[in-house]
Amino acid sequence: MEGHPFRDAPPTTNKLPSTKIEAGTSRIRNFLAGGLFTLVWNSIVLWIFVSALSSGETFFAVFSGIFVLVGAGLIVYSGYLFLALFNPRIELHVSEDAPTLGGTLDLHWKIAGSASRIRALKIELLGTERATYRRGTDTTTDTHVFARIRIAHTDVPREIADGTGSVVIPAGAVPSFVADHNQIVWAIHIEGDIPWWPDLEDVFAIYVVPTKHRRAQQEVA
Amino acid sequence: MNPVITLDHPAVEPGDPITGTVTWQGATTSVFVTLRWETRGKGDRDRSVIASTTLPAAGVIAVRFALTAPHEPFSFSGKLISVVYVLTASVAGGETSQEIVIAPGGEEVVLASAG
Repeated sequence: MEGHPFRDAPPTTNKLPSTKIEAGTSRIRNFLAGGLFTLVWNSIVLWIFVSALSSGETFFAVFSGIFVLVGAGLIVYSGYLFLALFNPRIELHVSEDAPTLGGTLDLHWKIAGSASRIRALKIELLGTERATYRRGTDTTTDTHVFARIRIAHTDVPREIADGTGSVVIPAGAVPSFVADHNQIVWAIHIEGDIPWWPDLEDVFAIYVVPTKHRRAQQEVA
Repeated sequence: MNPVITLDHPAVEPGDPITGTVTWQGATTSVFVTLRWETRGKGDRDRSVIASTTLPAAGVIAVRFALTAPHEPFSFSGKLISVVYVLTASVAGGETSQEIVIAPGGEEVVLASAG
């Protein structure tokens, strides 16, 4: 499943892909969630730390100091998320909202904002298993990438700002699958390298269907 | 006594018919056959019944059944998740289950690892 024998697949049409898809992650939501958690964490551990210091409990103060250091790390991470709010945005259009296994998906990306800040752009199609399970009171999700196909990797400013690419979805793979605790997720991952700044990272999920299913739908229509 | 499922084909293509015979000993008035998929592996188990049929069986000891394989999900095996199809036949006094592969080419899809 690995490799990129399809990276140079020719576009299936001369028209630019027109179906716009949205990134699965919201930067503002990430920042608000991270910032809120940081605020709550630091409020609690600093209160414990100061209480321990003022009451002269040296051992407890040192022990809680570990959690204060974690809180400092969270502040740095929240700052990272804040700076990422000002990254350029990617508009991604695809030729189909539900591509088939073995089919070709054409892409057209465009950077909204200061594209010149991006030094290199990497676009890949990833197929991922996601398994969610409970152990005691904790719920954990493990992931495993079973397919990684490079669509584009460029440092040419013009191609970074506005480019096209194509990818053939492996015919021997499996379609998207969504159950309560187990999923097969296909998504386009876009990474932009920005010097001295948080990198651009966006994930656009696509729903891959089996070829026969698409045929059956067309027959019904 | 538990019935016995004999499949005409232990592996089929998505969308193809699934046919076979259920045999049993003793008396029953009907046979209930279901097809479901279930996940196995690291995640908590998910399952869903895809198709079922109830067949009259008074006075006989075997019946033929026919269901249609769904187009998805495929039978597959990954590092974290597998999807397995299970046929279950129930008669008065017992039931039995048998796995069946539903995937292109009649072979379970194996998901490898990407770098």
